[in-house]
Amino acid sequence: MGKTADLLPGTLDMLILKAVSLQPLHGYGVLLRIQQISGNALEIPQGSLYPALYRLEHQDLIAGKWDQSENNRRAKYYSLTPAGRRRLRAETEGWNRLTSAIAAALNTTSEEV
Amino acid sequence: MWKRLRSFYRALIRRPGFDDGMNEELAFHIARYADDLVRSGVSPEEARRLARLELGGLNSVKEDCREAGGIHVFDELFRQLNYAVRLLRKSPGFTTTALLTLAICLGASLTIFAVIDSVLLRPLPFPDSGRLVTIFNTYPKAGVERDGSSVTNYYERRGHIPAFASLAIYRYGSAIIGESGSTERERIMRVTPDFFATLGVAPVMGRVFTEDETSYQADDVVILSDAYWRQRYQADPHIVGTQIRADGVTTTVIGVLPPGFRFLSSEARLYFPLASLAADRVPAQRHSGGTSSR
Repeated sequence: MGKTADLLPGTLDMLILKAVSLQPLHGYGVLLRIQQISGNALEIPQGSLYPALYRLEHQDLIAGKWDQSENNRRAKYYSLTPAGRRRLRAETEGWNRLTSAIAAALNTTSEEV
Repeated sequence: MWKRLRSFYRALIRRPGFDDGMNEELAFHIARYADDLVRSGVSPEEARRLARLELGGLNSVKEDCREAGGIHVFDELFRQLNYAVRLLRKSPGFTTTALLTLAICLGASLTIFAVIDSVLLRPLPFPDSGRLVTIFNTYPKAGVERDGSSVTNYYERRGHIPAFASLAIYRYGSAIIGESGSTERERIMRVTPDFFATLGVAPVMGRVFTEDETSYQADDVVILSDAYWRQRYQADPHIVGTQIRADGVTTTVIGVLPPGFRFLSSEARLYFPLASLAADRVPAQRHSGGTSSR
């Protein structure tokens, strides 16, 4: 495992929405998927994962459904709701604007001022 | 506001079984994580310990989940209610006073509303009720504002006041109904034949009184209210023409009124003709009574 980065506040929700937008996942699956799609660079604090899932479910952005898991235990699978899809799109755009603005600011050299 | 209510409602329907689901979900997480740790070479016991550790304090995670799911609102509400009940129990004097005050105030305003509703707000339960009026006799010199009219007044006025299309007189009373040995006192009204037509109400069965039936000896007829007919005669469809005893007089049932018929606050269940002597109908002495007209 290479270097990991701590999550910025507010980014966990966005990452969860992204993870379950790819396919329905149970809580542990969300954790693995985020690690996978971030190239193992992000460390998700496990203690905040479930409160975040419950918050998103309560806000109707994701929907949980009990189903059989791959090892035949019952597990709660989360999938994106239409509202969640809209939220993910909005958050992605906002994030991209923010990062490119910050990147542009940080890459400024003294000649460009 | 709407959003908060909706969130409240969603949490409410999810509250039962919320903890079970959460426990199962977290147990699943720990088991799966431990499996993965075992696969990477950790001993099973150590793996379970690590998995629990990684999740953080299980109880605080659960509390966070309840809060995130909006569930804690109820738990908090419940705690507060519990506390309130305990406090109230501790000071019974205060509680009793407060409850009594509330009860009396509620009772008083309900009563006032009921009166205003029936007197002012609700129209009279008769067709064309805006054209119905009650006539009182007034005696300004005696300081009497509203007094009943006499039979004499009634026959003097009937047909002689163009403003009134129809005029009737009524008197409240009671009568002993039934054969000796099984009698009952019933509230009744004595009315003139035009009473029902004045109110715009017709019997659902039988007929109303005739002018002839307002003479003594001929007044042995009765009209029943719907409620009395149902209670005492089990809604007998052949009731018209049968005879009952009223104040010891054999009386013929000639009609049944529609359900719900009620004259103002009267609780009369039987209606008899208001009989009088022909001599009393010409200007003579004044008696008591009342007139309804339109």
